[in-house]
Amino acid sequence: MFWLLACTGGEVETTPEWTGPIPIRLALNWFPEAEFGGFYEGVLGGHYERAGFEVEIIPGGPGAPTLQLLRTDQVEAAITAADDLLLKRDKRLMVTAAWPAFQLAPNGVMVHAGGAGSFEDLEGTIAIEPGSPMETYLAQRYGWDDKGVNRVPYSGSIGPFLADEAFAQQAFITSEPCIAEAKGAEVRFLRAADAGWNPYGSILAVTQPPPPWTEDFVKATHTAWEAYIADPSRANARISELNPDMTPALLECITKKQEPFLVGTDGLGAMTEVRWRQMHDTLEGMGLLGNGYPLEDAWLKF
Amino acid sequence: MKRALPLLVAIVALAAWWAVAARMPPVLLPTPLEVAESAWTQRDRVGEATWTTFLASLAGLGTASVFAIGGAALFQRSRWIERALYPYALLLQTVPIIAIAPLLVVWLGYGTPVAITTSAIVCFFPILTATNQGLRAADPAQVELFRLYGASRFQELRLLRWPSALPFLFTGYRAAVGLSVIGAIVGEFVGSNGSPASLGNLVIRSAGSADTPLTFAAIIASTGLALILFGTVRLVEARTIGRWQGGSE
Amino acid sequence: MGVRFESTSFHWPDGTPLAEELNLEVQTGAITALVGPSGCGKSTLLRLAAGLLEPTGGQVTRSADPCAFVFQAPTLLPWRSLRENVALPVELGASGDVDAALADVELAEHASKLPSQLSGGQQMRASLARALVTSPGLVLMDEPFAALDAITRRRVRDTFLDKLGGRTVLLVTHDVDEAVVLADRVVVLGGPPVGIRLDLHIELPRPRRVHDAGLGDLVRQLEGAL
Repeated sequence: MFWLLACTGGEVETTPEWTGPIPIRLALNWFPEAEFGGFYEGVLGGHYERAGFEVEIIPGGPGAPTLQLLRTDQVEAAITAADDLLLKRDKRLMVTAAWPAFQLAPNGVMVHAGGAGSFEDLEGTIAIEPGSPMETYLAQRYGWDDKGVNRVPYSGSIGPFLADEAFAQQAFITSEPCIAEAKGAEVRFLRAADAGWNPYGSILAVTQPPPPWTEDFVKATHTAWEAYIADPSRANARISELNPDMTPALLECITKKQEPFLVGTDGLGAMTEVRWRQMHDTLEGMGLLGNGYPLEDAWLKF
Repeated sequence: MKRALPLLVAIVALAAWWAVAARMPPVLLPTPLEVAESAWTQRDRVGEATWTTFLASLAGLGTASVFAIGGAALFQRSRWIERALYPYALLLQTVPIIAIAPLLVVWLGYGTPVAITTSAIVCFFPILTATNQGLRAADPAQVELFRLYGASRFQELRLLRWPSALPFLFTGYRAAVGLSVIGAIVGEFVGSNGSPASLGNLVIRSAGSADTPLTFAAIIASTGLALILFGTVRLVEARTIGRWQGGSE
Repeated sequence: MGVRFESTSFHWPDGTPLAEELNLEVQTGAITALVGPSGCGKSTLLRLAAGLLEPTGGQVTRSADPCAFVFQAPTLLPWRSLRENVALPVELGASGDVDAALADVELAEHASKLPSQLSGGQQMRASLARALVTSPGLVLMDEPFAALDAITRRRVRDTFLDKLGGRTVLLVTHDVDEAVVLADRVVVLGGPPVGIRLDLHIELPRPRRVHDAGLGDLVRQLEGAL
């Protein structure tokens, strides 16, 4: 089905004669986890079906090239984060943000309970993806080079963290803290948002210019996420099935931790000029944007 | 007694592993028992993953063989072609797989095609050089013999150069086989999204959820795969060329 | 006319001359031995005679009969059985009787063995069988017995004399004793560039043994010319 749709090219046509559901392939930018809960709820709870869509969720993994898949018509919708979206747009990938799941960036740094109390206090060794925009930002902001903070690559395993009380590592609120707690550690999560790094998270992206069904899809997605926040059990059960490493107990912990990040202060699914401008200027200040594409087109306003 | 030596080493190694691991948290170094337990409880997943990676490695090996052996035969035909294309073959060898894997996902989609491609890329060069060397290794006296009796180039290739190349080929395959498994797994790190399950994906996932016993189980499975393939090469080698290298050369 | 070298010259690709205007006629139906020190070019002459090399000047003519070459090493293909090895010339287009050739060298019962399962002497006889399978008029031999031990050598040489009667044979060897025992004519070569030092006809009856009367003188005479 993949190749067939790719061959018919371009966006899905909705001609007057077409009365069936619109097929949407949605590419996740990680393994099935709670951060995509609302999307799974959308399928399982019939939200998408009622809105006239047939959604296939395609899990990803490390380095998932979701926006490239979107732009090459292998999927109709892709999940990404705001910083990645802006960087890809700068590279001439014409995509746009339709709806964000996370108001507050789920990114941050995880330390042991007895460790640093804030970003200013961070010292020693931090496991973090070297050269990533967040790493570059934090290093610049807190003068890590001067302080001699030792950045080592993050292997994806919290083993080193668990073995060393003084260790710090990058983390997503939707993952590492709960896993570490399940292994008996007491952790503190330093929110990247508090440090000034606050991209919208788990953004639903579509091609630019957006396909005609986008608004309906966004509405259905919003309803689905509201349903998920109210009762995550059905979607979480599915996630557990797809990803055995996400046990029900773990998902319960994660769902609880991630809720304030979903809703934030502006409310679920909001996108403001202020936030986008802030992200844009931060990236520009780091020298990562150079092609001057109009920021207004980066996200959709309904 | 000689046969028992590797087994003895294995037992000693296992005991040493257990002794060290018993003092450490399982998340850093699980004991052999914990690894076995993990592999057993998740045997469906591990089994499916091992099978997927196995098929991908085989397919990668097969694909690489077609291009590498064909390429070497072409090089044998014309020094010009060899000079023109050899640098690109070398280039293929130096490409960092982990870097191009996301690109492969865009072109091929998630799943086994990416793993097959990375596996093929990684074992292409060893097979090419082995075959290349082998085709040139025919005994000069035997070449003269063929020429004397008016053999065509194709007859020379089929009846002399190809059999002469086989010992070299087997040497090349002994190396290529292990590489094919590694290549598939590296491709799976990025290119596999878990359906179907694959060893590369399993390693990444288990690391992410700090399920180290499962990581070890996956690693042991991949080693087992490589060993099986290696053993198969050795077996075929013994059956085919083993007999003719008995006494004199 | 077996093989004739007429004003034959041969230069290696780098210019070193191997032969300059050499004239040599090898009689039909007789065994001619070429003797000389190593490096004088006798093996190369043999290859010129076989047509494996082209002269750079003059010509090399050969009768149209099939021609066979026996190398110093048995040069059997290790992955083929004895029978398949002897059958190789036939497989490549010549006509010949494989079974007869095997019987001639008394290797018929080993026909399905691999070369690695045969002794040095057996391999050499197999090489001979392969050379004879096409009933060649001309047989070129490059130090064929050098790698064998003394006892095997004598056995194989006797087989050889037995089966080669009537054909034109050009035999290269560094062993003067051997040349005298086997050949009708011994040509002593020097060089490079290769030139004829001495050309002797031997009319003593066969079989000959080295310590026979008369042979000793011949050997001394030949060695003197080397």
